[in-house]
Amino acid sequence: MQTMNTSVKSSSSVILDKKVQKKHSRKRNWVGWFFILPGLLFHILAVTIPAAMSLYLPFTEWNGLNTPKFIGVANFIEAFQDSVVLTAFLNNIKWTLFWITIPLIFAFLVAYLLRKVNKGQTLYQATYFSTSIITVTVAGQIWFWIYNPFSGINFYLDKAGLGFLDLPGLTIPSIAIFSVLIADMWKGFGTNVIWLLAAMTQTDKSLEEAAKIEGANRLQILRYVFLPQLRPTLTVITLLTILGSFGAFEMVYVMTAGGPAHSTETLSTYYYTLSTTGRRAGYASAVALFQTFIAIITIIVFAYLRKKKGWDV
Amino acid sequence: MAVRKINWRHLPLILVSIYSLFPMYLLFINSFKTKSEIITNPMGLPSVWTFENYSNAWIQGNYSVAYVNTIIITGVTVILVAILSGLAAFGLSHLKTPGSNWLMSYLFISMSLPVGFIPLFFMAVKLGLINTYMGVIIPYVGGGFAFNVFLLRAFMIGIPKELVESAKVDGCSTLQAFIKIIVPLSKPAFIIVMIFTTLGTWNEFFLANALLQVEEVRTVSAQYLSFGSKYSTNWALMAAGGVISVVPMILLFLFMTRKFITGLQEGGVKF
Repeated sequence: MQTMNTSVKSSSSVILDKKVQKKHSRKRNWVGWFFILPGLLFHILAVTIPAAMSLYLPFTEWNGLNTPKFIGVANFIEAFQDSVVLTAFLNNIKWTLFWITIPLIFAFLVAYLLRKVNKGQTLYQATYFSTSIITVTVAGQIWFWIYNPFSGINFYLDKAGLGFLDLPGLTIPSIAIFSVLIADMWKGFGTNVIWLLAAMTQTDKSLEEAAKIEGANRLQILRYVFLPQLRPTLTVITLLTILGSFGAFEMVYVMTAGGPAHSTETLSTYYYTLSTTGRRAGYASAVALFQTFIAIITIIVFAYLRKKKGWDV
Repeated sequence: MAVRKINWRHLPLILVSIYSLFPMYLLFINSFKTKSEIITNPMGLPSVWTFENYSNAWIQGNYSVAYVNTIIITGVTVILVAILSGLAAFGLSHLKTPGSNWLMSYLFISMSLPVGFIPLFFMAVKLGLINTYMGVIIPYVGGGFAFNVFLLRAFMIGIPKELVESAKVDGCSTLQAFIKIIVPLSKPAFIIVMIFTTLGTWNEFFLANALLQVEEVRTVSAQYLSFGSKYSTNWALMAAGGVISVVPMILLFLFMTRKFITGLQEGGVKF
Protein backbone atom coordinates (compact mmCIF):
# COMPACT_ATOMS: atom_id res chain seq x y z
CA MET A 1 0.00 0.00 0.00
CA GLN A 2 2.85 2.33 0.77
CA THR A 3 4.41 1.90 -2.62
CA MET A 4 1.05 2.55 -4.16
CA ASN A 5 0.52 5.71 -2.15
CA THR A 6 3.87 7.09 -3.14
CA SER A 7 3.28 6.27 -6.75
CA VAL A 8 -0.14 7.92 -6.62
CA LYS A 9 1.36 10.97 -4.98
CA SER A 10 4.15 11.20 -7.48
CA SER A 11 1.76 10.71 -10.37
CA SER A 12 -0.36 13.60 -9.15
CA SER A 13 2.76 15.71 -8.85
CA VAL A 14 3.63 14.64 -12.38
CA ILE A 15 0.34 16.08 -13.55
CA LEU A 16 1.11 19.30 -11.69
CA ASP A 17 4.59 19.46 -13.21
CA LYS A 18 3.04 18.91 -16.56
CA LYS A 19 0.76 21.88 -16.16
CA VAL A 20 3.57 24.13 -15.00
CA GLN A 21 6.03 23.11 -17.67
CA LYS A 22 3.62 22.74 -20.53
CA LYS A 23 4.38 26.22 -21.84
CA HIS A 24 8.13 25.74 -21.77
CA SER A 25 8.53 22.44 -23.49
CA ARG A 26 5.62 22.06 -25.83
CA LYS A 27 7.82 21.57 -28.89
CA ARG A 28 9.91 18.69 -27.56
CA ASN A 29 6.90 16.94 -26.09
CA TRP A 30 6.02 15.05 -29.22
CA VAL A 31 9.23 13.01 -28.97
CA GLY A 32 7.37 10.83 -26.46
CA TRP A 33 5.17 9.43 -29.18
CA PHE A 34 8.19 7.86 -30.90
CA PHE A 35 8.63 5.82 -27.75
CA ILE A 36 4.99 4.89 -27.46
CA LEU A 37 4.10 4.21 -31.09
CA PRO A 38 5.98 0.95 -31.84
CA GLY A 39 4.29 -0.87 -28.97
CA LEU A 40 1.00 0.87 -29.57
CA LEU A 41 1.07 -0.41 -33.13
CA PHE A 42 1.01 -3.99 -31.84
CA HIS A 43 -1.76 -3.03 -29.46
CA ILE A 44 -3.80 -1.51 -32.29
CA LEU A 45 -3.33 -4.60 -34.45
CA ALA A 46 -4.12 -7.04 -31.68
CA VAL A 47 -6.72 -5.17 -29.64
CA THR A 48 -8.13 -2.03 -31.22
CA ILE A 49 -8.88 -3.28 -34.72
CA PRO A 50 -10.33 -6.60 -33.50
CA ALA A 51 -12.45 -4.71 -30.96
CA ALA A 52 -13.78 -2.41 -33.67
CA MET A 53 -14.44 -5.32 -36.01
CA SER A 54 -16.25 -7.25 -33.32
CA LEU A 55 -18.78 -4.41 -33.19
CA TYR A 56 -19.55 -4.78 -36.89
CA LEU A 57 -19.18 -8.51 -37.59
CA PRO A 58 -22.18 -9.59 -35.48
CA PHE A 59 -24.41 -7.89 -38.03
CA THR A 60 -22.99 -9.85 -40.93
CA GLU A 61 -23.08 -13.30 -42.45
CA TRP A 62 -19.47 -14.28 -42.95
CA ASN A 63 -17.59 -17.51 -43.47
CA GLY A 64 -14.28 -15.80 -42.83
CA LEU A 65 -13.16 -15.85 -46.46
CA ASN A 66 -15.42 -13.76 -48.69
CA THR A 67 -16.64 -10.25 -47.93
CA PRO A 68 -18.91 -10.02 -44.87
CA LYS A 69 -22.53 -9.54 -45.95
CA PHE A 70 -24.66 -7.19 -43.85
CA ILE A 71 -27.76 -8.97 -42.58
CA GLY A 72 -28.92 -6.73 -39.73
CA VAL A 73 -29.90 -8.32 -36.45
CA ALA A 74 -30.60 -11.79 -37.87
CA ASN A 75 -27.66 -13.26 -35.93
CA PHE A 76 -29.00 -11.94 -32.66
CA ILE A 77 -32.45 -13.33 -33.36
CA GLU A 78 -30.87 -16.69 -34.06
CA ALA A 79 -28.75 -16.46 -30.90
CA PHE A 80 -31.79 -15.80 -28.73
CA GLN A 81 -33.47 -18.91 -30.11
CA ASP A 82 -30.34 -21.03 -29.86
CA SER A 83 -30.64 -23.34 -26.88
CA VAL A 84 -26.86 -23.81 -26.75
CA VAL A 85 -26.40 -20.09 -26.14
CA LEU A 86 -28.78 -20.34 -23.21
CA THR A 87 -26.97 -23.38 -21.79
CA ALA A 88 -23.65 -21.61 -22.26
CA PHE A 89 -24.91 -18.45 -20.60
CA LEU A 90 -26.29 -20.40 -17.64
CA ASN A 91 -22.98 -22.23 -17.36
CA ASN A 92 -21.18 -18.89 -17.23
CA ILE A 93 -23.58 -17.84 -14.47
CA LYS A 94 -22.89 -21.07 -12.57
CA TRP A 95 -19.19 -20.53 -13.14
CA THR A 96 -19.43 -17.01 -11.72
CA LEU A 97 -21.53 -18.00 -8.72
CA PHE A 98 -19.13 -20.80 -7.91
CA TRP A 99 -15.97 -18.71 -8.26
CA ILE A 100 -17.19 -15.75 -6.21
CA THR A 101 -18.20 -18.03 -3.35
CA ILE A 102 -16.39 -21.30 -2.69
CA PRO A 103 -12.86 -20.60 -4.03
CA LEU A 104 -12.94 -17.03 -2.78
CA ILE A 105 -14.01 -17.98 0.75
CA PHE A 106 -11.53 -20.84 0.68
CA ALA A 107 -8.72 -18.50 -0.39
CA PHE A 108 -9.80 -16.01 2.25
CA LEU A 109 -9.64 -18.62 5.01
CA VAL A 110 -6.26 -19.88 3.83
CA ALA A 111 -4.88 -16.34 3.70
CA TYR A 112 -6.40 -15.61 7.10
CA LEU A 113 -4.58 -18.58 8.59
CA LEU A 114 -1.41 -17.83 6.70
CA ARG A 115 -1.35 -14.28 8.07
CA LYS A 116 -0.37 -15.56 11.50
CA VAL A 117 2.29 -17.92 10.22
CA ASN A 118 5.79 -16.56 10.01
CA LYS A 119 7.81 -19.65 9.27
CA GLY A 120 7.30 -20.87 5.74
CA GLN A 121 4.85 -18.21 4.67
CA THR A 122 6.51 -17.82 1.28
CA LEU A 123 6.79 -21.57 0.88
CA TYR A 124 3.06 -22.00 1.43
CA GLN A 125 2.26 -19.23 -1.03
CA ALA A 126 4.59 -20.78 -3.58
CA THR A 127 2.97 -24.17 -3.10
CA TYR A 128 -0.53 -22.82 -3.62
CA PHE A 129 0.50 -20.82 -6.65
CA SER A 130 2.49 -23.68 -8.18
CA THR A 131 -0.70 -25.19 -9.63
CA SER A 132 -1.06 -22.11 -11.81
CA ILE A 133 2.36 -22.76 -13.35
CA ILE A 134 1.12 -25.95 -14.99
CA THR A 135 -0.16 -25.38 -18.48
CA VAL A 136 -3.89 -25.88 -18.73
CA THR A 137 -3.75 -28.78 -21.17
CA VAL A 138 -1.67 -30.80 -18.71
CA ALA A 139 -3.72 -29.71 -15.69
CA GLY A 140 -6.89 -30.72 -17.49
CA GLN A 141 -5.42 -34.08 -18.37
CA ILE A 142 -4.48 -34.78 -14.75
CA TRP A 143 -8.02 -34.08 -13.59
CA PHE A 144 -9.44 -35.97 -16.50
CA TRP A 145 -7.59 -38.94 -15.21
CA ILE A 146 -8.59 -38.36 -11.58
CA TYR A 147 -12.21 -38.45 -12.73
CA ASN A 148 -11.66 -41.59 -14.79
CA PRO A 149 -14.10 -44.16 -13.37
CA PHE A 150 -11.76 -47.09 -14.01
CA SER A 151 -8.44 -45.82 -12.75
CA GLY A 152 -8.96 -42.57 -10.85
CA ILE A 153 -10.14 -41.70 -7.37
CA ASN A 154 -13.43 -43.53 -7.82
CA PHE A 155 -11.58 -46.81 -8.36
CA TYR A 156 -10.12 -46.47 -4.88
CA LEU A 157 -13.35 -45.31 -3.31
CA ASP A 158 -15.20 -48.28 -4.76
CA LYS A 159 -12.48 -50.64 -3.59
CA ALA A 160 -12.76 -49.26 -0.06
CA GLY A 161 -16.52 -49.71 -0.11
CA LEU A 162 -17.08 -45.97 -0.21
CA GLY A 163 -18.73 -46.00 -3.63
CA PHE A 164 -21.31 -43.46 -2.47
CA LEU A 165 -18.52 -40.84 -2.30
CA ASP A 166 -17.73 -41.30 -5.99
CA LEU A 167 -16.86 -38.13 -7.82
CA PRO A 168 -19.49 -37.52 -10.46
CA GLY A 169 -16.90 -36.96 -13.16
CA LEU A 170 -17.41 -35.74 -16.66
CA THR A 171 -19.85 -38.20 -18.15
CA ILE A 172 -23.08 -37.02 -16.54
CA PRO A 173 -24.17 -33.86 -18.38
CA SER A 174 -25.85 -32.15 -15.44
CA ILE A 175 -22.84 -32.35 -13.14
CA ALA A 176 -19.96 -32.27 -15.61
CA ILE A 177 -19.59 -28.50 -15.35
CA PHE A 178 -18.96 -28.75 -11.59
CA SER A 179 -16.28 -31.36 -12.14
CA VAL A 180 -14.57 -28.92 -14.48
CA LEU A 181 -15.01 -26.16 -11.90
CA ILE A 182 -13.30 -28.19 -9.20
CA ALA A 183 -10.31 -28.66 -11.50
CA ASP A 184 -10.33 -24.96 -12.34
CA MET A 185 -10.42 -24.01 -8.67
CA TRP A 186 -7.44 -26.23 -7.99
CA LYS A 187 -5.52 -24.42 -10.71
CA GLY A 188 -6.54 -20.89 -9.84
CA PHE A 189 -7.10 -20.35 -6.10
CA GLY A 190 -3.43 -19.66 -5.29
CA THR A 191 -3.41 -16.21 -6.86
CA ASN A 192 -6.33 -15.16 -4.68
CA VAL A 193 -4.52 -16.39 -1.58
CA ILE A 194 -1.48 -14.28 -2.46
CA TRP A 195 -3.56 -11.17 -3.21
CA LEU A 196 -5.65 -11.49 -0.08
CA LEU A 197 -2.63 -12.14 2.10
CA ALA A 198 -0.87 -9.10 0.64
CA ALA A 199 -3.90 -7.00 1.51
CA MET A 200 -4.20 -8.53 4.98
CA THR A 201 -0.62 -7.79 5.93
CA GLN A 202 -1.25 -4.14 5.13
CA THR A 203 -4.22 -3.76 7.46
CA ASP A 204 -3.87 -1.53 10.48
CA LYS A 205 -2.79 -3.71 13.39
CA SER A 206 -3.53 -1.05 16.00
CA LEU A 207 -7.24 -1.05 15.14
CA GLU A 208 -7.32 -4.76 15.81
CA GLU A 209 -5.53 -4.29 19.14
CA ALA A 210 -7.93 -1.54 20.12
CA ALA A 211 -10.94 -3.71 19.31
CA LYS A 212 -9.45 -6.53 21.34
CA ILE A 213 -9.00 -4.26 24.35
CA GLU A 214 -12.59 -3.07 23.97
CA GLY A 215 -13.60 -6.71 24.37
CA ALA A 216 -14.58 -7.59 20.83
CA ASN A 217 -14.43 -11.27 20.03
CA ARG A 218 -12.69 -12.76 17.03
CA LEU A 219 -15.75 -12.79 14.79
CA GLN A 220 -16.59 -9.20 15.64
CA ILE A 221 -13.05 -8.12 14.84
CA LEU A 222 -13.23 -9.99 11.57
CA ARG A 223 -16.58 -8.47 10.68
CA TYR A 224 -16.14 -4.85 11.82
CA VAL A 225 -12.41 -4.21 11.76
CA PHE A 226 -10.85 -6.59 9.33
CA LEU A 227 -13.29 -6.93 6.44
CA PRO A 228 -13.88 -3.20 5.91
CA GLN A 229 -10.16 -2.71 5.44
CA LEU A 230 -10.04 -5.51 2.89
CA ARG A 231 -13.00 -4.28 0.92
CA PRO A 232 -11.00 -2.58 -1.85
CA THR A 233 -9.05 -5.77 -2.51
CA LEU A 234 -12.11 -7.97 -2.25
CA THR A 235 -13.93 -5.67 -4.67
CA VAL A 236 -11.18 -5.87 -7.25
CA ILE A 237 -10.85 -9.64 -6.90
CA THR A 238 -14.59 -10.05 -7.28
CA LEU A 239 -14.63 -7.87 -10.38
CA LEU A 240 -11.74 -9.76 -11.96
CA THR A 241 -13.35 -13.07 -10.99
CA ILE A 242 -16.65 -12.16 -12.63
CA LEU A 243 -14.93 -10.92 -15.78
CA GLY A 244 -12.82 -14.08 -15.85
CA SER A 245 -15.84 -16.30 -15.26
CA PHE A 246 -17.70 -14.88 -18.22
CA GLY A 247 -14.63 -15.51 -20.31
CA ALA A 248 -14.18 -19.04 -18.94
CA PHE A 249 -12.63 -21.10 -21.67
CA GLU A 250 -9.45 -23.04 -21.22
CA MET A 251 -10.27 -25.65 -18.60
CA VAL A 252 -13.63 -26.37 -20.22
CA TYR A 253 -12.24 -26.67 -23.71
CA VAL A 254 -9.41 -28.92 -22.59
CA MET A 255 -11.47 -31.23 -20.40
CA THR A 256 -14.76 -31.55 -22.25
CA ALA A 257 -14.63 -29.26 -25.31
CA GLY A 258 -18.17 -28.25 -24.34
CA GLY A 259 -19.56 -31.78 -24.23
CA PRO A 260 -21.22 -34.08 -23.47
CA ALA A 261 -23.98 -32.80 -25.75
CA HIS A 262 -23.07 -29.12 -25.24
CA SER A 263 -23.81 -29.45 -21.50
CA THR A 264 -20.56 -27.78 -20.39
CA GLU A 265 -20.43 -25.23 -23.18
CA THR A 266 -19.59 -21.67 -22.13
CA LEU A 267 -20.00 -18.59 -24.29
CA SER A 268 -16.28 -18.64 -25.07
CA THR A 269 -16.04 -22.30 -25.98
CA TYR A 270 -19.16 -21.96 -28.13
CA TYR A 271 -17.96 -19.05 -30.22
CA TYR A 272 -14.49 -20.56 -30.37
CA THR A 273 -15.83 -23.77 -31.89
CA LEU A 274 -18.30 -21.91 -34.09
CA SER A 275 -15.58 -19.78 -35.61
CA THR A 276 -12.63 -22.18 -35.83
CA THR A 277 -14.35 -25.34 -36.99
CA GLY A 278 -17.81 -24.07 -37.91
CA ARG A 279 -16.51 -21.09 -39.91
CA ARG A 280 -19.54 -19.05 -38.88
CA ALA A 281 -17.67 -15.85 -38.08
CA GLY A 282 -20.68 -13.55 -38.13
CA TYR A 283 -22.84 -15.62 -35.85
CA ALA A 284 -19.95 -16.44 -33.53
CA SER A 285 -19.24 -12.70 -33.26
CA ALA A 286 -22.80 -12.12 -32.13
CA VAL A 287 -22.28 -14.60 -29.30
CA ALA A 288 -18.95 -12.96 -28.47
CA LEU A 289 -20.53 -9.51 -28.46
CA PHE A 290 -23.08 -10.76 -25.95
CA GLN A 291 -20.15 -11.74 -23.74
CA THR A 292 -18.55 -8.31 -24.18
CA PHE A 293 -21.88 -6.72 -23.31
CA ILE A 294 -21.99 -8.61 -19.99
CA ALA A 295 -18.41 -7.54 -19.24
CA ILE A 296 -19.25 -3.90 -19.88
CA ILE A 297 -22.36 -4.07 -17.68
CA THR A 298 -20.26 -5.61 -14.90
CA ILE A 299 -17.66 -2.88 -15.16
CA ILE A 300 -20.32 -0.16 -15.13
CA VAL A 301 -21.96 -1.65 -12.04
CA PHE A 302 -18.62 -1.75 -10.26
CA ALA A 303 -17.75 1.78 -11.33
CA TYR A 304 -21.14 2.90 -10.02
CA LEU A 305 -20.69 1.13 -6.68
CA ARG A 306 -17.25 2.59 -6.37
CA LYS A 307 -18.48 6.10 -6.92
CA LYS A 308 -21.77 5.87 -5.06
CA LYS A 309 -20.66 3.85 -2.08
CA GLY A 310 -17.12 5.10 -2.02
CA TRP A 311 -15.62 1.64 -2.46
CA ASP A 312 -12.36 3.12 -3.40
CA VAL A 313 -9.97 0.83 -5.18
CA MET B 1 6.94 -18.86 26.80
CA ALA B 2 9.36 -21.51 27.91
CA VAL B 3 8.02 -24.13 25.54
CA ARG B 4 7.69 -23.01 21.95
CA LYS B 5 4.28 -24.05 20.81
CA ILE B 6 3.90 -25.24 17.27
CA ASN B 7 1.45 -23.04 15.41
CA TRP B 8 -1.74 -25.08 14.95
CA ARG B 9 -2.35 -23.25 11.68
CA HIS B 10 0.28 -25.40 10.00
CA LEU B 11 -2.09 -28.36 10.07
CA PRO B 12 -4.83 -26.95 7.80
CA LEU B 13 -2.22 -25.20 5.68
CA ILE B 14 -0.38 -28.46 5.10
CA LEU B 15 -3.64 -30.14 4.15
CA VAL B 16 -4.21 -27.42 1.56
CA SER B 17 -0.65 -27.96 0.35
CA ILE B 18 -1.41 -31.63 -0.16
CA TYR B 19 -4.51 -30.67 -2.13
CA SER B 20 -2.29 -28.51 -4.35
CA LEU B 21 0.55 -30.93 -4.78
CA PHE B 22 -1.19 -34.31 -4.94
CA PRO B 23 -2.41 -34.05 -8.56
CA MET B 24 1.09 -33.00 -9.62
CA TYR B 25 2.54 -35.88 -7.65
CA LEU B 26 0.22 -38.22 -9.55
CA LEU B 27 1.44 -36.87 -12.87
CA PHE B 28 5.07 -37.17 -11.86
CA ILE B 29 4.91 -40.58 -10.28
CA ASN B 30 2.90 -42.20 -13.04
CA SER B 31 5.30 -41.01 -15.69
CA PHE B 32 7.80 -43.55 -14.35
CA LYS B 33 5.49 -46.56 -14.37
CA THR B 34 4.69 -48.99 -17.12
CA LYS B 35 1.28 -48.77 -18.72
CA SER B 36 0.14 -51.95 -16.98
CA GLU B 37 1.40 -50.97 -13.55
CA ILE B 38 -0.68 -47.80 -13.54
CA ILE B 39 -3.85 -49.90 -13.65
CA THR B 40 -2.93 -52.02 -10.66
CA ASN B 41 -1.14 -49.29 -8.74
CA PRO B 42 -2.37 -45.85 -9.79
CA MET B 43 -1.21 -43.82 -6.79
CA GLY B 44 1.73 -45.49 -5.13
CA LEU B 45 5.40 -45.28 -6.02
CA PRO B 46 6.48 -47.31 -9.05
CA SER B 47 7.87 -50.75 -8.30
CA VAL B 48 10.40 -50.28 -11.10
CA TRP B 49 11.34 -46.80 -12.26
CA THR B 50 11.20 -46.76 -16.04
CA PHE B 51 12.33 -43.86 -18.18
CA GLU B 52 11.05 -45.35 -21.39
CA ASN B 53 7.89 -43.26 -21.29
CA TYR B 54 9.95 -40.13 -21.61
CA SER B 55 11.80 -41.14 -24.74
CA ASN B 56 8.58 -42.48 -26.27
CA ALA B 57 6.62 -39.35 -25.43
CA TRP B 58 9.40 -37.12 -26.69
CA ILE B 59 9.36 -38.86 -30.08
CA GLN B 60 5.66 -39.66 -30.48
CA GLY B 61 4.59 -36.24 -29.24
CA ASN B 62 7.04 -34.59 -31.63
CA TYR B 63 8.34 -32.63 -28.67
CA SER B 64 11.68 -31.69 -30.19
CA VAL B 65 9.78 -29.58 -32.73
CA ALA B 66 7.27 -28.28 -30.20
CA TYR B 67 10.09 -27.23 -27.87
CA VAL B 68 11.89 -25.25 -30.55
CA ASN B 69 8.62 -23.57 -31.57
CA THR B 70 7.76 -22.64 -28.03
CA ILE B 71 11.24 -21.34 -27.25
CA ILE B 72 11.26 -19.14 -30.37
CA ILE B 73 7.75 -17.79 -29.80
CA THR B 74 8.32 -17.19 -26.09
CA GLY B 75 11.75 -15.66 -26.63
CA VAL B 76 10.67 -13.23 -29.33
CA THR B 77 7.54 -12.27 -27.40
CA VAL B 78 9.43 -11.61 -24.18
CA ILE B 79 12.08 -9.49 -25.91
CA LEU B 80 9.52 -7.46 -27.84
CA VAL B 81 7.38 -6.98 -24.75
CA ALA B 82 10.31 -5.77 -22.68
CA ILE B 83 11.53 -3.32 -25.34
CA LEU B 84 8.21 -1.98 -26.59
CA SER B 85 6.39 -1.77 -23.26
CA GLY B 86 9.49 -0.31 -21.65
CA LEU B 87 9.81 2.43 -24.24
CA ALA B 88 6.11 3.24 -24.04
CA ALA B 89 6.13 3.30 -20.25
CA PHE B 90 9.05 5.72 -20.41
CA GLY B 91 7.14 7.91 -22.86
CA LEU B 92 4.17 7.91 -20.53
CA SER B 93 6.09 8.60 -17.34
CA HIS B 94 9.01 10.91 -18.08
CA LEU B 95 8.48 12.64 -21.39
CA LYS B 96 5.34 14.74 -20.80
CA THR B 97 3.89 13.34 -23.98
CA PRO B 98 0.78 15.26 -25.01
CA GLY B 99 -2.34 13.13 -24.92
CA SER B 100 -0.80 10.62 -22.53
CA ASN B 101 -3.65 10.85 -20.04
CA TRP B 102 -6.08 10.13 -22.83
CA LEU B 103 -4.00 7.20 -23.99
CA MET B 104 -3.75 5.83 -20.46
CA SER B 105 -7.50 5.78 -19.98
CA TYR B 106 -7.92 4.14 -23.37
CA LEU B 107 -5.40 1.44 -22.44
CA PHE B 108 -7.13 0.94 -19.11
CA ILE B 109 -10.50 0.39 -20.75
CA SER B 110 -9.08 -1.90 -23.42
CA MET B 111 -7.60 -4.07 -20.68
CA SER B 112 -10.93 -5.07 -19.19
CA LEU B 113 -12.59 -6.10 -22.44
CA PRO B 114 -12.70 -9.71 -23.63
CA VAL B 115 -10.30 -10.73 -26.39
CA GLY B 116 -11.48 -9.96 -29.92
CA PHE B 117 -10.75 -13.55 -30.81
CA ILE B 118 -12.88 -13.96 -33.92
CA PRO B 119 -11.56 -10.91 -35.79
CA LEU B 120 -8.03 -11.87 -34.76
CA PHE B 121 -8.48 -15.37 -36.06
CA PHE B 122 -9.90 -14.32 -39.41
CA MET B 123 -7.42 -11.46 -39.80
CA ALA B 124 -4.71 -14.08 -39.41
CA VAL B 125 -6.43 -16.25 -42.02
CA LYS B 126 -6.68 -13.36 -44.49
CA LEU B 127 -3.12 -12.14 -43.91
CA GLY B 128 -1.70 -15.64 -44.22
CA LEU B 129 -0.51 -15.64 -40.62
CA ILE B 130 -2.09 -18.97 -39.74
CA ASN B 131 0.63 -21.49 -38.90
CA THR B 132 3.29 -18.79 -38.58
CA TYR B 133 5.10 -17.60 -35.46
CA MET B 134 4.18 -13.99 -36.15
CA GLY B 135 0.50 -14.96 -36.14
CA VAL B 136 0.65 -15.54 -32.39
CA ILE B 137 3.50 -13.21 -31.47
CA ILE B 138 1.64 -10.09 -32.62
CA PRO B 139 -1.41 -10.73 -30.41
CA TYR B 140 0.78 -11.81 -27.49
CA VAL B 141 2.79 -8.59 -27.58
CA GLY B 142 -0.20 -6.38 -28.36
CA GLY B 143 -2.55 -8.09 -25.93
CA GLY B 144 -0.21 -7.72 -22.95
CA PHE B 145 0.88 -4.21 -23.92
CA ALA B 146 -1.59 -2.26 -21.76
CA PHE B 147 -1.00 -4.28 -18.61
CA ASN B 148 2.78 -4.28 -18.95
CA VAL B 149 2.90 -0.56 -19.66
CA PHE B 150 0.89 0.11 -16.51
CA LEU B 151 3.16 -2.03 -14.41
CA LEU B 152 6.38 -0.52 -15.79
CA ARG B 153 5.05 3.01 -15.73
CA ALA B 154 4.00 2.71 -12.09
CA PHE B 155 7.57 1.75 -11.31
CA MET B 156 9.25 4.37 -13.50
CA ILE B 157 7.21 7.16 -12.00
CA GLY B 158 9.11 6.59 -8.78
CA ILE B 159 12.40 7.44 -10.50
CA PRO B 160 13.23 11.14 -9.99
CA LYS B 161 12.84 13.21 -13.12
CA GLU B 162 16.00 15.12 -12.26
CA LEU B 163 18.08 12.05 -13.09
CA VAL B 164 16.84 12.04 -16.66
CA GLU B 165 17.06 15.81 -16.93
CA SER B 166 20.64 15.94 -15.71
CA ALA B 167 21.64 13.14 -18.06
CA LYS B 168 20.25 15.16 -20.91
CA VAL B 169 22.17 18.21 -19.74
CA ASP B 170 25.28 16.06 -19.83
CA GLY B 171 24.65 15.40 -23.48
CA CYS B 172 22.61 12.18 -23.49
CA SER B 173 19.85 11.86 -26.04
CA THR B 174 16.42 10.89 -24.72
CA LEU B 175 16.92 7.31 -25.86
CA GLN B 176 20.34 7.13 -24.20
CA ALA B 177 18.85 8.47 -20.99
CA PHE B 178 16.28 5.67 -21.15
CA ILE B 179 18.87 2.98 -21.72
CA LYS B 180 21.47 4.26 -19.27
CA ILE B 181 19.30 5.46 -16.42
CA ILE B 182 15.72 4.21 -16.57
CA VAL B 183 16.38 0.61 -17.61
CA PRO B 184 18.95 -0.20 -14.90
CA LEU B 185 16.82 1.46 -12.22
CA SER B 186 13.64 -0.30 -13.37
CA LYS B 187 15.28 -3.71 -13.50
CA PRO B 188 13.03 -5.28 -10.84
CA ALA B 189 9.91 -4.25 -12.74
CA PHE B 190 11.35 -5.47 -16.04
CA ILE B 191 12.19 -8.83 -14.49
CA ILE B 192 8.65 -9.22 -13.21
CA VAL B 193 7.18 -8.33 -16.60
CA MET B 194 9.54 -10.73 -18.33
CA ILE B 195 8.98 -13.74 -16.09
CA PHE B 196 5.20 -13.38 -16.23
CA THR B 197 5.34 -12.94 -20.01
CA THR B 198 7.48 -16.05 -20.26
CA LEU B 199 5.04 -18.04 -18.15
CA GLY B 200 1.99 -16.69 -19.97
CA THR B 201 3.42 -17.28 -23.44
CA TRP B 202 4.75 -20.73 -22.74
CA ASN B 203 1.40 -21.83 -21.36
CA GLU B 204 -0.85 -19.88 -23.73
CA PHE B 205 -3.45 -22.10 -25.28
CA PHE B 206 -6.45 -20.11 -26.51
CA LEU B 207 -4.76 -18.50 -29.53
CA ALA B 208 -2.00 -21.04 -30.03
CA ASN B 209 -4.48 -23.86 -30.47
CA ALA B 210 -6.52 -21.92 -33.04
CA LEU B 211 -3.74 -20.25 -35.01
CA LEU B 212 -1.08 -22.95 -34.98
CA GLN B 213 -2.86 -25.84 -36.60
CA VAL B 214 -0.09 -28.06 -37.94
CA GLU B 215 2.43 -29.94 -35.82
CA GLU B 216 5.40 -28.16 -37.38
CA VAL B 217 4.52 -24.91 -35.59
CA ARG B 218 2.56 -25.99 -32.51
CA THR B 219 3.70 -24.97 -29.04
CA VAL B 220 4.01 -27.53 -26.24
CA SER B 221 0.75 -26.51 -24.61
CA ALA B 222 -1.28 -26.90 -27.80
CA GLN B 223 0.74 -29.91 -28.88
CA TYR B 224 -0.12 -31.72 -25.65
CA LEU B 225 -3.81 -31.57 -26.56
CA SER B 226 -3.28 -33.26 -29.93
CA PHE B 227 -0.92 -35.72 -28.27
CA GLY B 228 -3.61 -36.46 -25.70
CA SER B 229 -6.29 -37.09 -28.28
CA LYS B 230 -4.04 -39.66 -29.95
CA TYR B 231 -2.78 -41.52 -26.89
CA SER B 232 -5.45 -40.82 -24.29
CA THR B 233 -5.61 -44.45 -23.24
CA ASN B 234 -1.90 -44.68 -22.52
CA TRP B 235 -1.70 -42.76 -19.28
CA ALA B 236 1.99 -43.56 -18.73
CA LEU B 237 2.85 -41.88 -22.01
CA MET B 238 0.52 -38.96 -21.29
CA ALA B 239 2.05 -38.44 -17.85
CA ALA B 240 5.56 -38.33 -19.29
CA GLY B 241 4.45 -35.91 -22.00
CA GLY B 242 2.84 -33.75 -19.34
CA VAL B 243 6.03 -33.60 -17.30
CA ILE B 244 8.00 -32.73 -20.43
CA SER B 245 5.55 -29.91 -21.17
CA VAL B 246 5.70 -28.29 -17.76
CA VAL B 247 9.28 -28.85 -16.62
CA PRO B 248 10.73 -25.59 -18.04
CA MET B 249 8.15 -23.46 -16.23
CA ILE B 250 8.51 -25.44 -13.01
CA LEU B 251 12.27 -24.77 -13.15
CA LEU B 252 11.69 -21.08 -13.84
CA PHE B 253 9.31 -20.96 -10.90
CA LEU B 254 11.72 -22.76 -8.57
CA PHE B 255 14.54 -20.39 -9.47
CA MET B 256 12.46 -17.25 -9.24
CA THR B 257 9.82 -18.13 -6.64
CA ARG B 258 10.27 -14.92 -4.70
CA LYS B 259 10.05 -12.79 -7.84
CA PHE B 260 6.81 -14.48 -8.84
CA ILE B 261 5.26 -13.92 -5.45
CA THR B 262 6.34 -10.32 -5.00
CA GLY B 263 5.25 -9.66 -8.57
CA LEU B 264 1.80 -11.02 -7.81
CA GLN B 265 1.59 -9.12 -4.53
CA GLU B 266 2.43 -5.84 -6.20
CA GLY B 267 0.11 -6.54 -9.10
CA GLY B 268 -2.67 -7.32 -6.64
CA VAL B 269 -2.14 -4.17 -4.66
CA LYS B 270 -2.02 -2.03 -7.76
CA PHE B 271 -5.19 -3.23 -9.44
